[in-house]
Amino acid sequence: MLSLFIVTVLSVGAFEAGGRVGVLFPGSGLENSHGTAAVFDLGIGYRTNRSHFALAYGYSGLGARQAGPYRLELNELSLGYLHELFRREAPSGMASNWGFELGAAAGYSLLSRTLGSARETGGAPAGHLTLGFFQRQGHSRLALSLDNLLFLESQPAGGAGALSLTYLPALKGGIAYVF
Amino acid sequence: MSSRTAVINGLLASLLALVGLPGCGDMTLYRAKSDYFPLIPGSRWTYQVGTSLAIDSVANDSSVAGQACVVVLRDYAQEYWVKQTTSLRRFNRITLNRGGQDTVIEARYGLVYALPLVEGATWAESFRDTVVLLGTDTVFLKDSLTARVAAIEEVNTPAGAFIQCYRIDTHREVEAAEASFVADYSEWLAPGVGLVKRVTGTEERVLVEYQPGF
Repeated sequence: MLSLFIVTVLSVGAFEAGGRVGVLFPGSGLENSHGTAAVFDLGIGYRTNRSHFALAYGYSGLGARQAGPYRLELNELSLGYLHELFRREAPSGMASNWGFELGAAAGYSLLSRTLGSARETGGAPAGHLTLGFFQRQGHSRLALSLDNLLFLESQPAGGAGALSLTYLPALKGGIAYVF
Repeated sequence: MSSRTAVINGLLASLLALVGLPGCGDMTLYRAKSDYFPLIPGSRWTYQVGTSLAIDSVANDSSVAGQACVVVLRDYAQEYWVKQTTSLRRFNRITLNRGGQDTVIEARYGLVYALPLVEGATWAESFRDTVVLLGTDTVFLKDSLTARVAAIEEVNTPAGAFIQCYRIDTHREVEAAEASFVADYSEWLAPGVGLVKRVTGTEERVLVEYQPGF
């Protein structure tokens, strides 16, 4: 039964692995003291006809707006789902197709703030809402996306109740190899 | 499954995962984005000091010693603050009286808080000068400050409970003839509010009311 399932899965879809780079913009008040930062993602995924499941690791480090030894670092692991909303199939004789996709993901970020030798660490769950453009040619798949990250934090148990939402938009572009 | 259903299912799954995880976060981003010393005109803090009340407020913007600053009325006495991305400075003015005449021996913006606040961070500043008064009286001046972000704590005051407060332990030492003093104090700064508690060796000041400015 299991082998039948695996054969079925492998016959209708494809695995892919790739990376993305981009720019992370501070929001929700972070922009008052933090600058924009580069963001790097590495991911593996499984794709069927129009659906795509992905496990991704992302890293970004936001510095202070003025030069200094301060840094806010985010290391995130997320699991997400993307769906191709529109796909323009390649005409016969051409090898590429393109389209737009919408996705959502949930993840957990390990956070650290450092200022010289001082360091605070923590973590926060995060949600992603992604809208992107893709272009597929042969085994390569290019993507350009707007990734909206929403972090949810709450006061640890025992403290006064408080909930904090932090929004960080990111523009990312990347390439994946489709096996 | 239609594409619309698939997208909705994905979104719902993410939302459920996000909602199910609260409590795991420990407010690191909340501290990173919060202003721990808002200097917004109209802001007003009322403190209980022993059996009496003291009122601090942010008056207006001004310019002192050639630098744009914010005027803070502390117990109705004017203080001048400069807020930058990496520091908060207060205008220090020390005078000595000689022959019935006040002479200013220090007039500069001294470091009070190094920003951003991160638990464990330390900072220090020392200012030294030698001033000759009335042509004959030489006064040695030393104004030094060392401070440390000692802890992240929750503070309960008559104005309410404040979470994610930074406790800052400060040591200030001024050597300036009869104007010399040494001060050790702890301050608790709350996000979006500012000073909610201050404890010195002889006095405790706690917030009883806060009115944000506009």
